[in-house]
Amino acid sequence: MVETMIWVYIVICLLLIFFQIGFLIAMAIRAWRERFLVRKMRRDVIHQMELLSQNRAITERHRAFLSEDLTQPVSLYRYEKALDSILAEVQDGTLALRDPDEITNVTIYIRHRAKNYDNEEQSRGRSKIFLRLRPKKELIRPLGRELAEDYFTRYLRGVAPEIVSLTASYRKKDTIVHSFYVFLLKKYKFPSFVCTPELIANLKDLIETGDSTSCEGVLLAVYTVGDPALVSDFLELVDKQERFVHPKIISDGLLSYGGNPTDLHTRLLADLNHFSPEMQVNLLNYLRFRSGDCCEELLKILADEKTHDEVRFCCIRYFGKYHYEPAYELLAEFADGADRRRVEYAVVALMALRNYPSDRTMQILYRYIHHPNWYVRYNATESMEVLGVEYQDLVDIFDGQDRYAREMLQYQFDQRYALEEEVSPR
Amino acid sequence: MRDAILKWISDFLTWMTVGYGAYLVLYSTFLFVAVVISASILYYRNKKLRFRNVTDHKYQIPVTIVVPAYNEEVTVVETVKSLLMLDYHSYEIIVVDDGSKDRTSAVLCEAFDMRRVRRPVRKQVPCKDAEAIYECFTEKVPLVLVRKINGGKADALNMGINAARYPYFICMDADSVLQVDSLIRITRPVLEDDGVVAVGGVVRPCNDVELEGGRVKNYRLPKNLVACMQVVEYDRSFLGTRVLFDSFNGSLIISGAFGLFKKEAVIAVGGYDTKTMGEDMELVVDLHKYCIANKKPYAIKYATDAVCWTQAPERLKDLMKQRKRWHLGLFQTLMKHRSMATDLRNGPGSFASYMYFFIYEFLSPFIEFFGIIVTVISLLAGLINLKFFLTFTLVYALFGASLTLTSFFARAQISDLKLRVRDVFKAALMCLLELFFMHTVLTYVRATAFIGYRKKKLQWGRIERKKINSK
Repeated sequence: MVETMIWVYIVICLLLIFFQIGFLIAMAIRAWRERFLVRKMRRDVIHQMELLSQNRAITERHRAFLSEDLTQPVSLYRYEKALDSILAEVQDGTLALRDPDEITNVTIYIRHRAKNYDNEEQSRGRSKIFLRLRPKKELIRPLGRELAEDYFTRYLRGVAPEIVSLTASYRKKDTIVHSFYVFLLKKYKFPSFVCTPELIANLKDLIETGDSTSCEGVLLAVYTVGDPALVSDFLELVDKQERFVHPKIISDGLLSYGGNPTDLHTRLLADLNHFSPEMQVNLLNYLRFRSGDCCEELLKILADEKTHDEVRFCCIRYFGKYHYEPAYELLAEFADGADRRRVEYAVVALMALRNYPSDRTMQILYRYIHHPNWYVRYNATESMEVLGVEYQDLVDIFDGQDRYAREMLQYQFDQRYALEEEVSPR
Repeated sequence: MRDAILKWISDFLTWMTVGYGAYLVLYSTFLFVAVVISASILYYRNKKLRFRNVTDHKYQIPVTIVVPAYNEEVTVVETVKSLLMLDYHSYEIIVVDDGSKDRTSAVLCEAFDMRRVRRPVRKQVPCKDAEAIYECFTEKVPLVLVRKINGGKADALNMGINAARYPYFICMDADSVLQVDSLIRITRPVLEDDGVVAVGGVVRPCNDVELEGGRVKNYRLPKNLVACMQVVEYDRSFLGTRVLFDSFNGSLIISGAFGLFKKEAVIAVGGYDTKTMGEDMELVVDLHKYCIANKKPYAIKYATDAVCWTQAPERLKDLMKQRKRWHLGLFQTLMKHRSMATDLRNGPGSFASYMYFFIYEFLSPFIEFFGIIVTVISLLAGLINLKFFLTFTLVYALFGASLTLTSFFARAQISDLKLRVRDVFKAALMCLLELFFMHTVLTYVRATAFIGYRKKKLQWGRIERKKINSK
């Protein structure tokens, strides 16, 4: 039995070693084949761009290739690589296109005769070889970024119907491949050229079946369409799922919205009550990053006592970034109410007040420098620093008994002096 | 009577030898199963990466990098320079000088024109007081130096946590270099799952590796044999256990050289334990227990593509000191949390991980040390057949070496490292050498680690430092 076991282990050892060698060889061959096929695909795409540059249409052969071959995930992967390499040249401004008419089709006929050792003729015939002679790329001047981008966009627009039509095929494939297809859609903004109901249904499918990464890809693809109603619909769908989607994926992702941002803001604010408080926070964070035009609506939300606390904090932060005088009264009340409300209101409002310089603001900040909560103290001192308070105005704190307040203020002043020295070196 | 005693001794030796052999077979089989499962997990993860199933890197969560340093004047400036080159925009760097006796603080202040500030630090986890705080206002991200009273690595890390402003922090060593994309990669699990409280990165020895701008320019195996054997050893532990445990949320250790933690969770468990030598493992075990006890959904992940390059000791003496320290740390943590072996409320994952660490990490040096002695005696007494013994040893060695080699290639593959033919053969040789030489030496070191261990309490592990080959 022991001997059998030893033999089993010897066999496993040998299998492992053969597997290593086989794996290394297979990887090397795969990499080589991959490079070759991507280059071939790239040549094909460039040829189509060359035709477009001469105001000619994309060939039917290329369209058929996209509709049929790209249903294979590996082909789609290579296609993405080919587009990537072209995009890199487009962005560098180094892409050069040739005149397709300069391509000379040459057919060479080769006569062949085969003889045996006794010089007797065995067979004879004629072979045909087709050559496409193209001028060397190095001899052609690059297009420049603007023109190259134009041709590239025209190509993407031209093939968008074929790429979008792949949706039926990828809908049936596993989530990884399905997500990759959506990734390609959003990367090259195909839905902004063609958006079919089938594509929308497909994207909704992936939200329901995929993970948070797929969800992110779908949302980014939807943003490229530039339809506010569609964005709102999809965000609602995401909100209904129990799956975690990081707030940054929503708030930062919306920044890539392809349509008119004002329309989107109006729509999101109109639909705000359809969303959960968590999603509302994400949307308000997005609005804070993007625009200061929603002050009026946000003040209404802030003033409503029924609004969720986190949503109100977001509104306060918004007014901390965008000065809106009608909001001041509420902000001052929140900042001054650390003992009546949740302390977080005061923490956030004290930070927002740095955007509202006035005597009342200074009095509130001065009062809260001594508050027992670390964050209240810290934000009050930081706001004071931003408002440009001088040492002599605070001399009683520096000479006073409150060590914590003193240290916080001292740090703000240290930072200010150090930064001033950086701006105007000694 | 004499015959009975001799028979008893003979039986005892035979059974012990058989037991030892069975232990080796079991361990090898476990390693084989682990490598196969891990390889298939990695294949799946690689497929996801290849097909771009990863969170877009534009969304970045703010991260604080805490670099505890003690007598690191040779490497600390290079380390900070490499951190400033990271492909990430939302981070800050906090270097904590734990009362170094050399010019660690001075070289940093000179290199980055740092100014002293009176910054208040909120002590949320216990640590010794700060002596001085310096800040730099000219770099692309905030750079802070905290000089504090000496208190050990865990104490320095706690100070870093207190001074950190961001919700996540990364701990790393002052003699390490993070790969340029490592922050993007290590934060991905957090973007994908809010319950992630810690993420471990991959630590690779950088001896003789040429790094430029935080990227590998030229990969080669170290010329130094001790460092070279550690490369293959790190790879085996990576594929053998880390990936496997990660698959069932059973990781009990995140290397102190590179790990990301949720600050809120770490503060909740009281920060790093300053009374243990294995503060990194201790923290992870604490996080497991805290989340389970409080019924918080959580995950501890392992980012297989987030790489940190570190200096492996090149002198055997340094390596022995390092491993002795690690083993004592392991012992302290296992003893402190021994309830995990009996309390199944911690979940089957935690139980399985604990038992693995207890049997194969903690007890293994004793079993192997004892096993080797018993086998040698049995061999001399003619209780085992020499031919059988040699065949068994050879098969065991070949099996272990081929598994290590599998791990080495798998890791090179996922890290996209270009291997030279010479290095492939060298790696194969090192797998055997590591098994026969380094493993045996380290078994002895770990088995005798307890001699005089109290004296070493709370000291920084010291190894000879060299400048990292990074531009």
